Amino acid sequence: MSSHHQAIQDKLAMGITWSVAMLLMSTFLWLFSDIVIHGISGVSWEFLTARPLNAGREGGIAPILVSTALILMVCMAIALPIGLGTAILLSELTHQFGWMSNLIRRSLDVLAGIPSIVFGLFGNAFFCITLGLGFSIVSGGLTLACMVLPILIRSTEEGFRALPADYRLSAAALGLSQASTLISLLIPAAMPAMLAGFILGLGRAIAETAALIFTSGYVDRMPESLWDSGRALSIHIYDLSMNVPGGNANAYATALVLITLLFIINAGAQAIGHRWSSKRVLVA
Amino acid sequence: MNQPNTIPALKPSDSKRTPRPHPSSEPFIFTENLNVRYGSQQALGGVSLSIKQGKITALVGPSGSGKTSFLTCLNRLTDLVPHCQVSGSIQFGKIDVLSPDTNVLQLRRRIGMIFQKPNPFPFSIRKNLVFPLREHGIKDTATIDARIQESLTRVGLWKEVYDRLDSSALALSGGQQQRLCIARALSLSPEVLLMDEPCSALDPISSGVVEDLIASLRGPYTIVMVTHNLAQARRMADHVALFWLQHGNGQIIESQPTREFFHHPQHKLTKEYIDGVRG
Ligand SMILES: Nc1ncnc2c1ncn2[C@@H]1O[C@H](COP(=O)(O)OP(=O)(O)OP(=O)(O)O)[C@@H](O)[C@H]1O
Ligand SMILES: [Mg+2]
Repeated sequence: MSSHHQAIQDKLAMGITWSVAMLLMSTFLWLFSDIVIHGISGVSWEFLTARPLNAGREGGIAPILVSTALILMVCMAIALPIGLGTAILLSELTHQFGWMSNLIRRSLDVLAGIPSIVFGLFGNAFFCITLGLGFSIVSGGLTLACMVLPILIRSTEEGFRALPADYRLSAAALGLSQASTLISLLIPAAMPAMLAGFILGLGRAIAETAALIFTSGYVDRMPESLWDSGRALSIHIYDLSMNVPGGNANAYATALVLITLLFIINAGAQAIGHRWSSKRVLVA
Repeated sequence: MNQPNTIPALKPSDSKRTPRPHPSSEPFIFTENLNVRYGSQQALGGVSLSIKQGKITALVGPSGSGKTSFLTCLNRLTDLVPHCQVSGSIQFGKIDVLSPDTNVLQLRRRIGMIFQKPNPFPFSIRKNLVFPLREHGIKDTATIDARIQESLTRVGLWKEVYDRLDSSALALSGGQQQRLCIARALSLSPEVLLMDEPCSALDPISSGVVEDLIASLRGPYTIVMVTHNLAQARRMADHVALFWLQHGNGQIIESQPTREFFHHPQHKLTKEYIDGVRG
């Protein structure tokens, strides 16, 4: 009798789980197929290598791809070293910096929850105006760096924490210093987690609009230096679909390019992670 | 003139150094009134033990009686545990182990440690051995290669792995991994080896192989070994110390040469422990 009852409960739980999963899957598929159907005809070599014309209704997205790449480069060049350093501080040196690491961790959790438009306004006030960097790729990259740092730090920190405690103990027992243990053993071993954090951060950064609109701006010319304003992919999509009548076709094509980039990034991360875990040797 | 806290560094030149057969029966490591606390919990209370050079000293006793805590004091691995406080005195040769001036990296080079669970690094077999050697200042490739072969031969692993030194150490069997860890410790030519239940995570056959290996290290090395296996202590040890929880903290209630320990225990609890009535 009670086992019969349980069987019904199991079936119910199963059914709910499945329908939620299917709902999510179909939402995604619907979105994705909509973009592919409307965008595929617009994407061509020409589209990727030409300048936008007529406010983006015609022509391509070459300068926008370049600006996006530069913004991401600035973002990661700043965020990676700071992120790694902070993660090491939080996970490896905790008992030297007990109260401070708690404070940092708390601040990061708050930062991670702040809407990106707030980062955009902060970036505009601080980088563009106070530091005098103006609307530029540098300002945009720095703003994005502030935004992805929490993700980067927390996932790297988790990576360090997930390492077996054995590593630290056995290294110490061999008379290895904390510094060389960190450099030669812990950092290579935590590399897959760092990479995952990097990809998550990159994914968030590449799709960002609100943080960039007031910092890197929306000039759609080819940037000549990092101090020029440059338009990111997501801003191009936003502009075409909201402000440019007749821009929908190219907005779809740009969205398809953006989604494809996201797929490539994720696939790359998986491939690297897989190779890492299958080889089981970090450094020969 | 004599500086008690300077430990001679490992010199690259002393490559033919493994056998160090001068096992005097003078105490080599000497702990006196050793106390260990983890925060507010006292794990060891007033432990005094002298450990003889070139002998195997077995530490036995029920779980939680402080054997591991005692062992990790000797190489100051307790430094890594937050809120862990050690007091009392430990004399190792002329070195005051607990002094803040002691160079712990050199100390740990001279006092190696083997853990219950084999813990090779996620590197190749070769790099597991090269990495610590380099860190201790041995950079010459020929010396390193000689040491690798020598220490792997010492643990009986050379024949099994010489043709796959560059494959992952994690692909070895448990027993092989444990012998690799012993080789890794030996490559730094330590004088003392601390072993925390080195056989208990292994299958019976590997356990036997590792046990024979440890027995063969007696003489040139001073060995302090925790074991839950009384038969093993009886077979291997020269001296046995029994840890017991008394008044809430771990103490040594009996410390005797192996024969005496098993045949003429002084303490009532020792007899009950040997007979399997307690512990
Ligand atoms: N890192 C630690 N933090 C807090 N308490 C600890 C720590 N390590 C050990 N203890 C405590 O110290 C006491 C002694 O532990 P210890 O590991 O030395 O015992 P043991 O004799 O090695 O036991 P076992 O035979 O189970 O390995 C235990 O009560 C344990 O809970
Ligand atoms: Mg123990």
